[in-house]
Amino acid sequence: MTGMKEIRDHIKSVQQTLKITNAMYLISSANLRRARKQLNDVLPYFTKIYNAIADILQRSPELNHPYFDRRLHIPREERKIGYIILTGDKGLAGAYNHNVLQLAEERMKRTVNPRLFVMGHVGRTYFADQGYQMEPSFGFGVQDPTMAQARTISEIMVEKFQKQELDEVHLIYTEMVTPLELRVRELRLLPLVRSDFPRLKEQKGFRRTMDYVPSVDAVLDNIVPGYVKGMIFGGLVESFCSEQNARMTAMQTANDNASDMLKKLSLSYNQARQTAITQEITEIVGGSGLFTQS
Amino acid sequence: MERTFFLEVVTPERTFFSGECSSMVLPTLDGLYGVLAGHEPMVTAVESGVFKYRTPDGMWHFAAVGKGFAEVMPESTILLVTTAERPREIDEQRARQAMERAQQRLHTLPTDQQEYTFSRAALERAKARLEAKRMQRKK
Repeated sequence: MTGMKEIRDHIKSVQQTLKITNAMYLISSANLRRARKQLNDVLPYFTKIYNAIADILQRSPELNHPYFDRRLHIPREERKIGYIILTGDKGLAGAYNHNVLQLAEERMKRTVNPRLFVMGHVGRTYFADQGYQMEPSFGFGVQDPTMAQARTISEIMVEKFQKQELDEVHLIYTEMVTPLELRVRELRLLPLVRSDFPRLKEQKGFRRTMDYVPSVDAVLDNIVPGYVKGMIFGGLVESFCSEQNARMTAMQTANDNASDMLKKLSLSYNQARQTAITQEITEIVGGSGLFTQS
Repeated sequence: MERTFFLEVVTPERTFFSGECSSMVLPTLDGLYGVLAGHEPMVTAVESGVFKYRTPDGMWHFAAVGKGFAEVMPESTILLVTTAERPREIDEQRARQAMERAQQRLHTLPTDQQEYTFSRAALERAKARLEAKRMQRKK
């Protein structure tokens, strides 16, 4: 039987941990609520811009725009593929960071020439430890994503794509399918590939033709950077939401475990106390018995 | 009764406007572009500038918008822009200061292409804000 003091110390330390995990739970649930609202606000823009591009693709089969140029003449070994990887700034979020890094790692193995644009502390330290070369000066935080941030990132990426410093740009982020199901997704931002977009149902009766003012190219020049920006912002918000959600779940589990542990510990503490008292009484009774006998 | 169409103005931060409207004017690449109900299907690029629309009660509303595009259908129109602000949400003094800053930067002839486009865009945005404010007053 462990001594009472040890058990008491153990209980204290568990209580301390419980306090911390509980606070973290509350913080992430508050953050999640805010992030959810942001997600709901951005979603209409996100889906509309996506549908608009799908629409344009469907109506104009022949497009020779630089943003659609897949640069197929560049062999696989020489293709420079940029990955924007969104991880968290902190751990303690269950499998959230691990899942992102796993997918990223798998992609790295498949590409000869990966360029890494990592956001979030966890990811940066991880890739630095693994000895990967990361793009410097990409120190964007992942807390509280803003539109201005998304704009800066997308401008950098679009410029690199146009200057042929990158032949493809991918985004790896976590999507919150339902609050209970988080899924890591990879999304190709550039070039735009027709097969990435769903075929919209043709409206019955007549085939609508679409005019582009002043020209298809000018319209795409304007839409595509907006699309990239929108997608990056959406990815940032989704990831932030997922991170908070994952942390909330992890902390909830930690809280439950701590409560279970406290229950067990206080039981064994009481048992130890009981044993000690019984022993003391036995000793006293034994001792006094000696006197009465003599 | 005037014919109306369904207009939606969406930015990444919010749905700016959603409802019936009878007429609107867009700032496009080659100038202002008016749209009435029953317009032929069209997609156009939108520049930063003043966007105005008339609701069925005959009132004209103004907004300073950023870059984006509009998808026009006979019965409905979607305007997707990076920002959209009502005149009363605009801080005139701040916009004027931003305009002056941008003009100054352009006067010093930036050699960096990126800085040039950036200042240029900032100037356009500030101008659009001031213009929206002015038009609202004139009304």
